[in-house]
Amino acid sequence: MRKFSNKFILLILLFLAFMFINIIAGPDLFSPSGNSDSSIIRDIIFRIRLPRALTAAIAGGTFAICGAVFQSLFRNPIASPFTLGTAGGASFGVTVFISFFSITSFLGTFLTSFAAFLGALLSVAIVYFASSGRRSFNPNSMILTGVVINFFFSGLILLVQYLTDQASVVRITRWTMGSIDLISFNALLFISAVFIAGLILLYYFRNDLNLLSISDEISVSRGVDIAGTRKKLFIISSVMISSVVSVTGPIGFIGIIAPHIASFFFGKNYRRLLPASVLTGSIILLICDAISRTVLYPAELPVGIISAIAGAVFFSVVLTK
Amino acid sequence: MIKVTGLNISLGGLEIIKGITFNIVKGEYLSLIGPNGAGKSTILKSLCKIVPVTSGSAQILGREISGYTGKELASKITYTSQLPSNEFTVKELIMFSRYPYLSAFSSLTEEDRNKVEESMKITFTSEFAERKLNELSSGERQRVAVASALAQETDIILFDEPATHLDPYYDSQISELIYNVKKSRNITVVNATHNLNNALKYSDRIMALKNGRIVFTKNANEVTSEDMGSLFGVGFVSMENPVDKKRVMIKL
Repeated sequence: MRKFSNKFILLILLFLAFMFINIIAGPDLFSPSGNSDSSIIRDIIFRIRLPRALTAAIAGGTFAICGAVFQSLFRNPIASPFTLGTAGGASFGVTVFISFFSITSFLGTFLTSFAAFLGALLSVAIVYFASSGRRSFNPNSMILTGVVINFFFSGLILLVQYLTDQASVVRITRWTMGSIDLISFNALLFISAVFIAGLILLYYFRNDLNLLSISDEISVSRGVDIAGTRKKLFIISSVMISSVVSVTGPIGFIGIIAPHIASFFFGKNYRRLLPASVLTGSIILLICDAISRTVLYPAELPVGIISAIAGAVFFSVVLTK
Repeated sequence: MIKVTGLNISLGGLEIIKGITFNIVKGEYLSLIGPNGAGKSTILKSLCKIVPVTSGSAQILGREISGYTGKELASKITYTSQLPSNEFTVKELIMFSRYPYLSAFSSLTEEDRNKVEESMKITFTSEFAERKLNELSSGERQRVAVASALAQETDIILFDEPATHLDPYYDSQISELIYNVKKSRNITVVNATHNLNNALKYSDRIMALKNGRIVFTKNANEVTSEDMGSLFGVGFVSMENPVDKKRVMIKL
């Protein structure tokens, strides 16, 4: 077990290092054209960069841990936080909001998030009611429901986009690319609280997750209440995903790859895989966010684009090795 | 130990088990035999609540299984069949068997670790404790399956074809292992098997199942070649094994 604690220390150090790099990355800080005023630098760091780095860490951690949970729940290596239609639901909420209410002030940002959260919860509720009762949260029927929901919401989104004006379409598309924008202090507080509570609750289920990832038969004969546990894990993860998606939009791929990278170094045991996935996901998104902010400066690239492209390239390299 | 009365099980509208009644006492070794599809696995799985009971009563240690929580039941009885492929190490898999005794935020105690070590020692799996299950041969995997059942420390173990697909060497090794553990720990064993001669050799009683009904339940030394013949629909002759004087059946 010694080797793992050393690896964990290394992973935490890496996390802190990338937190730091993320905060100082970008030309606004220490630029030669002035900005030597330390109070401005302090403002930039504490009001802009630190909240943004925390958002990236929380979002990456959430997608990664929920990906790890869904991969056990569905015994499927390509299950992701968005398998159950959460992204579709959130995007639909945003689409409806942007198309029918043109509020662009700060209140608009908040209401967009709120609409995304409601949309995500709507998809969660549909999966919940379609999977409860006789189907007792059977993984296959849950995945199918998720796929159907994603298609259904995609259809509705296209319909609304077709009927609405061009400006709204651009804003909707921009949202669905996913980004770590500046979020309000209250929003950061909200996702932090959900994140920490979610981590504790999911860690509570680490033994169940191990058994569930093997088979139903093994789980039941070892004493796992499979339907009840699946239901609880589904609800906890869904609330975590919904809260993050509402502020960042769907940032793809981290939820799939982070658990695989983590399990490569820490094994499949969820006792280690859960914390390792969180840190790995955070690190990946911190890196992607730093890149998205600097690569096209002064413009900013949506981080979802970076994470999807970089993730796919990285993953193919790992797969072919 | 196990008391089943008028048990019916239907799966997907199909009647699999049709009104079965039997009793198994503490320390008994019962072999469950019968053609494919007779319902052997279904009965075993229903006792661990892997398969729901449609009607009738199934009691473990004098209590209806529906009255047990998952963890309570898993500390009394467990079901073991082939382990499905997975990426865990042998030791991890065996440790997962301690689930019924873990509370949510505690980690494994010294006692848990001792039980795991002991189970690995008895089953000769310690040598590949750190290897992944996927890297093992079928014989080694089956020993891991038995080890995880033992680590769960139940009064009753239900084996579902524990020695299938094994060569004669591993086949006898597993069967002997189960028999020895049963004797030394005084646990109750139900073993669903197609290896009739091992069933005759090791079990106290044999229960024959066909089309979801019990055909006969007999002491192992009272089973005749005619019983086997009518059960499986092929001819058998009965002989005495010159080495251990136990009865063996040869399929014609």
